[in-house]
Amino acid sequence: MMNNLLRFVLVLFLVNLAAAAILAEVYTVTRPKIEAQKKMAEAKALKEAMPESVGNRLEKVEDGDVEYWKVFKDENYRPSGYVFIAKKYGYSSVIETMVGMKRDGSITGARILNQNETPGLGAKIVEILSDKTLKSALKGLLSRKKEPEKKILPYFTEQFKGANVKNIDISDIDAITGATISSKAVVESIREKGSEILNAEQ
Amino acid sequence: MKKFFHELNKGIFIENPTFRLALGLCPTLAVSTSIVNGFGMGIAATFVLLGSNVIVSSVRDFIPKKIRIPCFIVIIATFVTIVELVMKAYFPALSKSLGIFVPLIVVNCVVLGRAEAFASRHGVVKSIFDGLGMGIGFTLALVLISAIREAFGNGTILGLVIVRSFEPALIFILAPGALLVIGVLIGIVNYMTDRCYTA
Repeated sequence: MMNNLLRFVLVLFLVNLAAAAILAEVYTVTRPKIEAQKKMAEAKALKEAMPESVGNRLEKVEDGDVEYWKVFKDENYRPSGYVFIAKKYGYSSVIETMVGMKRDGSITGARILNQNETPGLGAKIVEILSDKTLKSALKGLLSRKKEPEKKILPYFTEQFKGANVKNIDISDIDAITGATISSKAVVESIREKGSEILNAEQ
Repeated sequence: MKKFFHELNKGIFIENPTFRLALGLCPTLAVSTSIVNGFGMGIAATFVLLGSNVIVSSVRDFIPKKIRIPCFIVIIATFVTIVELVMKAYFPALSKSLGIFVPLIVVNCVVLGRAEAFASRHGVVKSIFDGLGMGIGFTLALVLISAIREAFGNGTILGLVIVRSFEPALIFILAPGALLVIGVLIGIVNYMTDRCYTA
């Protein structure tokens, strides 16, 4: 009896030890790659949310739990705009959106950074719709003529451009069909965080 | 050789995990909304199946019967975590669209089912073919289901719009549509199998 118990403990211990060792190795190998991917995605989102941020000075502000960046266009001491990450729980995950806005609160761009919403429904907030149809794609394959790639943008977040963070509302934009909760979470997170920053700055 | 081929073959049709064994339906319902997602999930599950089958069958004499399930779960979870990390590092887009369902392969009953019902009772080579066959069967089933759901529910195939004038029926993307599609496909596959084996 005692012998058996000891054997069980030992076997389980060995199995777990081996698993932990293998995972530690895989983790150390993949971690820098994962970090790099995350940085790349963030840099791309920053560029798209705030085109002016490229080549200009960014200053990080941490005020309690409010965290954002000021963008300085020239040597002015007044920032020309702000970039912040808005977070809110959607349908099945926390949706993180990177948003750029001007001093008056009008949005220059928004990109979803992280989400784990339902594939095919809520996850459509990041969807990029191809402008090709099956027919035109097949035609393009057959003719071998390379057509210039058009830049296609995620249609959901593109709608936010020009809206003001102080009064943006779900009724102003086209929500994703069947995913009202996810759509609403994005809009509300932007309004709440954006207004908070504007209030703190003024 | 013929014996091994049988193990590979049975997972694809006669004992197809989705249509014949009705295992792993939860991820099938959840990710079969687009062909890319279905295929990615299928490949990830195949890798986990293959890995866990190899390890389970090679350590089966060393693991006492009474604690075999926790041991299997640890082995499966290890492979799933490897898949998750590698996917995050090298295929970030796929990892983002599959989201929570990659870690959930741990509790995919196809994987545990094969470890318990096959790999813990057979040799390594046979288990490799079994895992491969089941994985391919699972992937094919997922691709078939997601092709139908994507075409009717989203109006696209591989992200390309089929006909602009077609207004997609959202129900096919939602869970009820998945159940309808899986139910009809199970019916067709069972009817065909019956006819093949009774005639």
